[in-house]
Amino acid sequence: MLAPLRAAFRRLADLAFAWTARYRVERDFDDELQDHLARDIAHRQRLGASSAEARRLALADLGGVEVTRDALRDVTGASALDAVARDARYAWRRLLRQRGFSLLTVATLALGVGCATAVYSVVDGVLLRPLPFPRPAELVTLWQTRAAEGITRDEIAPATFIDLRRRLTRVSGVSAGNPFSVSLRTPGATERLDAWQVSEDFLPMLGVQPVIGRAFRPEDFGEGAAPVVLLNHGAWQQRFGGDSAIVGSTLPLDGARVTVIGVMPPGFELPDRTSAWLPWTPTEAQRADRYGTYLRIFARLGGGATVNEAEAEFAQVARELEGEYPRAYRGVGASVVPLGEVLVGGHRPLLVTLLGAAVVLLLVTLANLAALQLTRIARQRRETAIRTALGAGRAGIARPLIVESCLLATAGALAAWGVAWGGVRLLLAAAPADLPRLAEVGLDARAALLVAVLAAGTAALLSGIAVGRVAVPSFSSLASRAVAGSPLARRGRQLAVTAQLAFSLVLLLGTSPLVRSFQRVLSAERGYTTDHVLSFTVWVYDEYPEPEARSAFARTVLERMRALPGVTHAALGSALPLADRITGEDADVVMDGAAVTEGEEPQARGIAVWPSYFETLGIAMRRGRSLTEADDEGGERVVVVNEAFARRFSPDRDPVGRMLAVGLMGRAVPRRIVGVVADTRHARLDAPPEPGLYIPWLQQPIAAMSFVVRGDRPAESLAAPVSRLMQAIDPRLGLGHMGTMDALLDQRLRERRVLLALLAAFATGASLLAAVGVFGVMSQSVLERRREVGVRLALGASRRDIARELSREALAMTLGGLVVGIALAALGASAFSRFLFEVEPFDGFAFASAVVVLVAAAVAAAVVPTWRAMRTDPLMVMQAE
Amino acid sequence: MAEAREVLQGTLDLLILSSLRVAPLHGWGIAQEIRARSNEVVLVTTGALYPALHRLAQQGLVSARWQVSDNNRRARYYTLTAAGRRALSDKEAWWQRFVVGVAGVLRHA
Repeated sequence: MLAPLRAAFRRLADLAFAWTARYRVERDFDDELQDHLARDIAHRQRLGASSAEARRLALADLGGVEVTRDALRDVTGASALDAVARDARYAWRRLLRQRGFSLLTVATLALGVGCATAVYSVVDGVLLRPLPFPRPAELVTLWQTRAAEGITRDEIAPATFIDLRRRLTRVSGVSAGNPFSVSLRTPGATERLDAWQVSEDFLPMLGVQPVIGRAFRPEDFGEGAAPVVLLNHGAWQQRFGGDSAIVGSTLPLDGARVTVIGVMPPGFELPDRTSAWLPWTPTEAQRADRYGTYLRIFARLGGGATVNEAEAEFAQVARELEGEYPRAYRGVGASVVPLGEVLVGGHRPLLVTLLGAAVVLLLVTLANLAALQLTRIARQRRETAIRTALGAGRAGIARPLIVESCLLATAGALAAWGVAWGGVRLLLAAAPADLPRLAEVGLDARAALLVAVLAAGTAALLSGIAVGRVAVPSFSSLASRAVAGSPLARRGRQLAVTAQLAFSLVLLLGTSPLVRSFQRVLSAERGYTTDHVLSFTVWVYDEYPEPEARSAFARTVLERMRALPGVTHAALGSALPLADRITGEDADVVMDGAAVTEGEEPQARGIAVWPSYFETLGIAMRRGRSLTEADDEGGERVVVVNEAFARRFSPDRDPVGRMLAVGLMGRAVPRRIVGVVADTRHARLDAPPEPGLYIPWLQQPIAAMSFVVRGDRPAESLAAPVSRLMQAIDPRLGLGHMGTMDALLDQRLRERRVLLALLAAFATGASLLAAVGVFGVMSQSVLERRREVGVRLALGASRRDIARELSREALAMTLGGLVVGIALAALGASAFSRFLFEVEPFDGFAFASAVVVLVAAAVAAAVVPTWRAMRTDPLMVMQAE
Repeated sequence: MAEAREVLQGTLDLLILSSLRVAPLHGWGIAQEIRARSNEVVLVTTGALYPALHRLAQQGLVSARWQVSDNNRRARYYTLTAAGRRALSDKEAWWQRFVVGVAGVLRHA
């Protein structure tokens, strides 16, 4: 036990001693040189030189103090540690001398590795890392499908859930989440919060415990249980300042005092984004409901069952249920999806695309580093020759080069860490709000490992190039003042730059279709305007259960809102374009004269609206009349449809005046079509508009009321007066999802915008690096060929010939890069096209613009060195020889 | 070429050792001594001298220590060691043979 310790201590002491000894030698040597200098100056003065003159001559005679010192160290070389320290100092000085090169290398490294690490960290946190639950691979979600209607993931009705819990054996802990919202009253405002009610098994099945307080207990469930709530960590931080005293206190939720029993861990967002969890006990009505498909079902695979086995069993149960309740379960299929898949599913293309782009950028970075290093090494050949002549051995030449590469890689890695740190923050800030698991994203040990590995790879690459390129030169190269570069090095640089150009082209080719598809989405006719419009939602199931009271409430709110200064229009609807969860309900529609089987009616999206809805949102009337306030409970049952509806259901007849049966949230009612309005695009802005219909809200006053207020001023400024007004009209009501329509639109576009911005940044960065590469190679070419150029100019070659020859080199690299890049892009196109949104990966415009950008960058980079070569003065070059 | 460097190096060592035959000298003194004795034909640069001195010290052919010199400056004096004296006579013998050899070549040219 003690022996190795003692040995280690001794080694440490030895090292320390070696260091001090080394230090003494260094100091001795400095003193010695100082003494030498003093003597030389004194001597020269005795011989008659002035003091200044003597000093100048002596210093010149002494030569490079540093070179001498290095040569001395090469001779006296002490411990390995000492050698490294010495090489590090030498390398440091050399890097400082070549400041431009060093900065460029470190910046390139920081950019490439930093971006790659940031993107990796996000992808790792969201996509790769196992879910933060015990045995996460077992967790699954259950969905019902309706293949005939193309529905692959529908939620599940409460009665179905209760049957599934009884009948399924391959999964355990079958539990449900019921989407819910509660109003929270605070002094001066009432706010509507998204929440989930969860069944008793839910948290135990997941294996999640609150970080503060306790989880639900059996006695929290069931009729008459004391109301309790668990808070989301983010909501707790934001609304209650992270005060743990909140646990145990009560909150005014939906008019009741609800006890806060705990706070869930940060990042826990199941079944979906939420502010709070409440216990869910199915009511009598819910227990019998086989049609209201709104529950999210979670379970754990049991006894080693696979997802497919669980799905087969679920399908079997679905067939049994169809036998028992044919009307409810006709065409219903089963789907079991791993939880991780559900959480990330839709975002996978975004993340994979980003990761791919980061990898390509990394490749460009490495190619650029290689080109830079080759250029620099070529410039160092004379210095190396001098050191060799002074007696430095092959190892003495190679070691500092390696140390230098390691220093560069380390500095680059540190800078890359900074870039990654900022990058992750930027990505998190810019990420789509519904990107899951963001709380788990951060720079961690894995990111550090990645940076370390990349830095080590870079160091190996740089030193490999350096040592490989520096053959110990002979005296002849000392004698010759020419800085001759070998053709091999030049070829290497050209290859590296060609690779950069190729990868940059791949990025550009990948980005431009995205730009175009985004432009298309932006310019697409949405069918409504979002500027100057504020929206919010209230739920009035309990406060206004009677239709008359509900209508009176709506009238009052709309009248008083229109009276607010700055408000020009106000309306309400059961849903909004762009709304978060659903835009309208599925309605069964049967046109007059159409024969359909009961239960298989065609469907359209239906919402109930106030007559002013169209005008407020700027939805254009196409035919017939709009709705009026006369279309109320006592009036004829009417409906307004959109153009997509007209195309689908009344292709060869004017739909106005036709009758149809509409079953929206209840029994089908015959209605007369009175008008046609323009199509609107909703959550999926690039998807074709769906058939939709608008029912007078006064004839079906749905309790979820989304108000829209248009003003003659920025919509944000309307939020405060509108909140005050609502508080004055009915302080019990919570306002949910208060925000501007512009903000909603922005949210919808966000994922694309982020992806686009990042890809564009990557492509720009790569192109810049490639341009730097072209510049470096061309400059070096010019430098190496100065003598040749000078001689040829002296022999009568025209400057244009010289320029032409150099341009040819630049052109060859650029063309090579283009050809390879196009080939690579074509190879990757099939894989890539999956991530492009309905855009051909190879369209002419994208292709042409990418090529133009890259060629322009290459030409710009080649101009200066070529111009410099043309300006070569033959006389100067010859004299320098 | 490697041969030529060895010769040069060997010669520098010989010159240094030989300049220390009579008395210990500091680096500058050695350079002056060689310069004077060769009638300014052989010039030893600082960049060559000090590394060579340290190499000789490491090989144990000279020893170095700090001393106060004539004009009250502290200087690092180099002294021939016993091994240094032996090496000096070896190198001298080799040099004599070398000179005779080269002279022979030149005579017959």
